[in-house]
Amino acid sequence: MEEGQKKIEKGGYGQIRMEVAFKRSLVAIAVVMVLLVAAFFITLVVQSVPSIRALGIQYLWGKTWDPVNNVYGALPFIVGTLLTSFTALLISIPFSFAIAVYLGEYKPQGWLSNFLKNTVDLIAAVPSVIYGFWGLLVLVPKIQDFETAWNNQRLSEYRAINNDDNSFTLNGKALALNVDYFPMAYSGGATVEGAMMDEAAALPDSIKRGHPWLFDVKPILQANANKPGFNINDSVKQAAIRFLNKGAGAMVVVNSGMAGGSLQFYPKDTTLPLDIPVLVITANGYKKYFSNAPTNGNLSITADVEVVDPYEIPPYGIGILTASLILAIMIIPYAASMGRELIRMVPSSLKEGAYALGATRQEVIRSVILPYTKSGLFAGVLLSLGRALGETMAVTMVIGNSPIMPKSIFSLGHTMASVIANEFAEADHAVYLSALVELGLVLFLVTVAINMIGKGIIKRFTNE
Amino acid sequence: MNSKLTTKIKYRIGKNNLYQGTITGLAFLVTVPLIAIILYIFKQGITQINWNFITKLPKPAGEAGGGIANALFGTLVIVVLASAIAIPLGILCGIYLSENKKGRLAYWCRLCVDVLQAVPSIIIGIIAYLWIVKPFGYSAYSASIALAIMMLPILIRSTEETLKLLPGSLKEAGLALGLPYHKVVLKIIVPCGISGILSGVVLSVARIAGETAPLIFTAFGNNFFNANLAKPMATLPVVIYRYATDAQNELHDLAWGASLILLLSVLLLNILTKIATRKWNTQL
Repeated sequence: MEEGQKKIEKGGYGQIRMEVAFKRSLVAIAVVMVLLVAAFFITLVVQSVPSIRALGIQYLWGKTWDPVNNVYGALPFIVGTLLTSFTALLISIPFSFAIAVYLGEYKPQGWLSNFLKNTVDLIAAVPSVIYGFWGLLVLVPKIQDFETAWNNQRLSEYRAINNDDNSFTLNGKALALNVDYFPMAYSGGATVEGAMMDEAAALPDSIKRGHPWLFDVKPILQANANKPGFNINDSVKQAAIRFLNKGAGAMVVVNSGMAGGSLQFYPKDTTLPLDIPVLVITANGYKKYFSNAPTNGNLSITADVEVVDPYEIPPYGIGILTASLILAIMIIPYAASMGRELIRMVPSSLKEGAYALGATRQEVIRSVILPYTKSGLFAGVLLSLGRALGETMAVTMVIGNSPIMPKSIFSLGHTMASVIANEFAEADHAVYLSALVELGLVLFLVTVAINMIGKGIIKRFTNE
Repeated sequence: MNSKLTTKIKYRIGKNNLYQGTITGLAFLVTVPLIAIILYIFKQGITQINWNFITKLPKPAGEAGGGIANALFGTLVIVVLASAIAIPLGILCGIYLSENKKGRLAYWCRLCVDVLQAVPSIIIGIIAYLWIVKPFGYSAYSASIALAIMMLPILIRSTEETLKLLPGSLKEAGLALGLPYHKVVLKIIVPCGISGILSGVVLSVARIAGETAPLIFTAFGNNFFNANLAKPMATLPVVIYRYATDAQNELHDLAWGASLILLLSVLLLNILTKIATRKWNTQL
């Protein structure tokens, strides 16, 4: 009897010891998790120190990334990341919203909704390298075709060429000398081929250099309409000097305000010879060739000039647009599934109240469901954004990987994640590696912050 | 007056129908790219897959043929090792969180799981590189550790959510019978929630099987067969990435085949999760 009791006690103590050990190991694992994430952060910070010390805060807005010469500026990557992610977000939002409303409100059940729901889930499941591969071999040629077609279409419009015999062609049609245009007396002569550029257009002069520039005298005429003795010649001459200094190849004078009248010039004005060719488009010529065209902005495309039409798209196929399109597909599921859950949580009493008042379904969605789920839907979009910012492989494969400041969504580019993926294994000296780690630290902080804000909003939403 | 009212109502009904049409159209438009991708990969990949493809090693550059046996093996080894690391840790941490709904440690732990879930995979690659590759060189186990870290949040969350749903009476009954705590957890609570936990396991494996970014600078890849965990190892995703971005068309063909195998495995794992969650009616 006593022996039996001892046995039980012994077993009991063993069990208690086991129990304590088990509880402790659970706590230990939880502590390990916390330490793991803390170590993540500390590692990133510590490894960024050489770069922070060598480059300082300027690293974040330096525009040049040239590891060979030890110049590190992360701005092109930051801009590239933001441009890619927000373009993708803009494309994906209507689709995510449509899926959320369809599955949350229109058809929560049924085989068709099941099909849609499973498909959307699978979109999130397909590995990103497969999206990248498909994008590279299928989407890129399609985008390239589109870009070439766009350029060709623009090329057929408004081609302005000043031939060396001082004849002038616009858009392939010759303008009649002294009827549609006349060269201004004592202006210089040169052969200029290129896009007609407006001085006021918001383009750097470096791009407009060498092209014929457009000078519209309408604002000057209007401002000086009641001034006695006002001479438009002086304004034109001043403009010509300004244009010349800024690099214009020629100056084309039009008057967009007085379509009926014609500009009057003193034909033998010798007071100030002009060094660039100045062509004056008459009212007749303006009516014929410019009436449908925006005089504001850029009118044409170039043939021989080095810098081309700023609206021309480099027809690479790869670039920020392609990356954004693929990203858009990839991030749809996150906002969509979040939105679906939230729309289902709208109390039916609210919806029924609106229906009872005679609202249509669209009106219920707009005035009951949307206001109710607004913050949650926003949080869903944030989760999508967090995904887009950190997405690496698909973007790396189609964005073109060039460390330049993207000029538009058609440019090649680099995102923070793609530059890390491309260069991390090759970073051969301490500052280079550290600069890449610092980029990772920025990415870490941004994605974690965005996700935490999103999750916080949802938590508040579901608790309410 | 009456006709005015009818017009107004007709307008509203028309608007409603247009809205519904647009929403439905947009929603189903999303399925188009996915189906296009899957069909395209099937079309391109199916002609590549044969016995040689899955049993032979890659040929030297310029030679036709060759297979991806080393990458298949590498992915399998790295994923199994990652699961072996992550599953026990993840499940235990999930148990801790479901057992401790309040408390400072549970709060911080939950926060860290959220943070870990938000971290882009490339950052996990950086960390694995700095911690393991920099001192010890490229290796298969460094890749496994990176992938294991990526699995953890999914495992922890699914375990926690599943166990939270179990009725408290189960635990109380066990404790009332005098069972020690660890037996209550391991012999009652975990078996009751095993379906949800297993779904989480499958889901987490599906998530990491196709991960590429952390592998580029951990497992790195090579062209020959390697079973040494401390050496670089070829993996399917990295092979797809390398071949896809190569200019040679023959390598593209190999990459299509590899993509099809990867896609099929990932889809299969996801469908398994779906079936499991539906059959056992668990929440994920």
